[in-house]
Amino acid sequence: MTRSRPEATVAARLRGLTKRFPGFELGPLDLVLEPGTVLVLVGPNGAGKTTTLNCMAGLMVPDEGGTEIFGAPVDPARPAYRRDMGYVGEESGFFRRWTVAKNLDYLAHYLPGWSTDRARQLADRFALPLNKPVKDLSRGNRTKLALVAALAPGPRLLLLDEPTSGLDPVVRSEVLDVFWEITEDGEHAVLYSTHALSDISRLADELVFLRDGQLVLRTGRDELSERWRRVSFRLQDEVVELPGVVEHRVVRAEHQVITQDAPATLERLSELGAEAVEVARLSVDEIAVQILKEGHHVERAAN
Amino acid sequence: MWNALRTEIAYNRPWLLGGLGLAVGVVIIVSVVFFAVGEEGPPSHAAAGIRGMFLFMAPLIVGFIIQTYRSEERRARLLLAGPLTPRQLAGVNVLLPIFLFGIGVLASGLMLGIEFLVTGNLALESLHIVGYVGGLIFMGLMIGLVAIEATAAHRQRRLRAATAGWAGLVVGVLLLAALTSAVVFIQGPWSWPVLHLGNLIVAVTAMVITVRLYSGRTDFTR
Repeated sequence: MTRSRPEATVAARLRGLTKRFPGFELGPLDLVLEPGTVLVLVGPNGAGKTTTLNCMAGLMVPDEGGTEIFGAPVDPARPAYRRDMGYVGEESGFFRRWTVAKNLDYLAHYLPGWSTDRARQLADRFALPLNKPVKDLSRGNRTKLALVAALAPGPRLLLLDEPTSGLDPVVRSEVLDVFWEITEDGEHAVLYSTHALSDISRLADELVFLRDGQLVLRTGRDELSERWRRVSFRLQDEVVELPGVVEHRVVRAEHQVITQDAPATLERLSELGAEAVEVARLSVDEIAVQILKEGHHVERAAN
Repeated sequence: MWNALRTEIAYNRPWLLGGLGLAVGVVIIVSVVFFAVGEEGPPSHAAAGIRGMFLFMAPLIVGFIIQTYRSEERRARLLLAGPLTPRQLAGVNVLLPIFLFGIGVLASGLMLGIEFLVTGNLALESLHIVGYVGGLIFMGLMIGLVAIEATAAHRQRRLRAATAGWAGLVVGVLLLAALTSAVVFIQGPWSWPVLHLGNLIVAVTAMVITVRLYSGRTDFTR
């Protein structure tokens, strides 16, 4: 595996990626991740996030379609694609009876492009206990070690599978701060999977919503927070057709709706003569819940 | 691949040394018992076979432990972050038992050498019995690897691969049984070479099947 890096305009490209399990089918997924973009894959447990990332990392072979990483096809038998990719998943395969330092020393010899300086800086930054066996590390420290291992070779693409899941708030904040620093330079492409958006929303450039193995929506973070609103108003008609509304509750003449197209909804309400119209922002998590709720129609966005 | 193999051996050195130490202890105890019972004990070549069995068993049992650790610690995930291909990973899987078998050969050879120095004679029969017992244990380990890969293929819905793996396993076990029974029936100067060759053929076939099944995996997360 050489370190020459082919120039490619796309960090990762999924083409019709399909993986089938009994009772579950992921995809076909088509997705493009540009360099310097933080794309957050959002979905409930079992939506197919981990399978997507495993296929992208070459840990699973898709049934159909495939992935390219900086132009190199993901094929476990041709490891060229791995030179520019770092992956942090639930398990990292470390030698558990060895210390953190010994694991890092092994990786320094095993992984091409490894920077001992970068590894040391990150280990210091995370205050990793270098002399502790991996089996004795807390979950937070294991995640930090996995991050050091993923980042030390200097990959341009990071695949992060729920890296903060199960971490306490302090450690989560530390880990997120490091992500913030990494992504600030605008050179790293990051695909970050999560089922809780609140942590990562400040880092996200784009959001991809996955439900039951299918891509439900891809949208920019700002676009999402600009268009979604909770609107309450008074209107005598109990049944009313409003554009963009995904949830509608009525108690007597008091209506409360959640809309994915606030301008269109408000314009229609104005035409209908609604009174006491109040508009409130929704948190990204609230929006995600609405998008991922079963049965809601959400307009599909092109990739 | 060699680096990964070396690392696994270094990582599991305490198990290996502990297992060998235990086996040597057992061999010493068994030797003392055989010496104490004198002519009422087994013939010298059978006694050598029994002692050799422990020296082969120890490293190969350690081999089982190592495979379990590697699987439990999801080593493939770590190695597939680097330059290794699945075929090379499969190579590590089959080379590890070969290395451990080599340790068994060395330990048994040492034991037979000591026996020769002490007693002044060494029957060819003893060499054959020790080699045969070691070969059987090695073959058993290799067939175990085929079983692991056939199960993985079944789980990954690679039904043809799983069927081929299980068929190979059944044929291997039948051959193992046939070879074991053949000890009774095969007589003459070719009996031992035939048995050794049989062991070798089954072991090599099991290795090839293991590498092929592993290389065809569609899931390396477990």
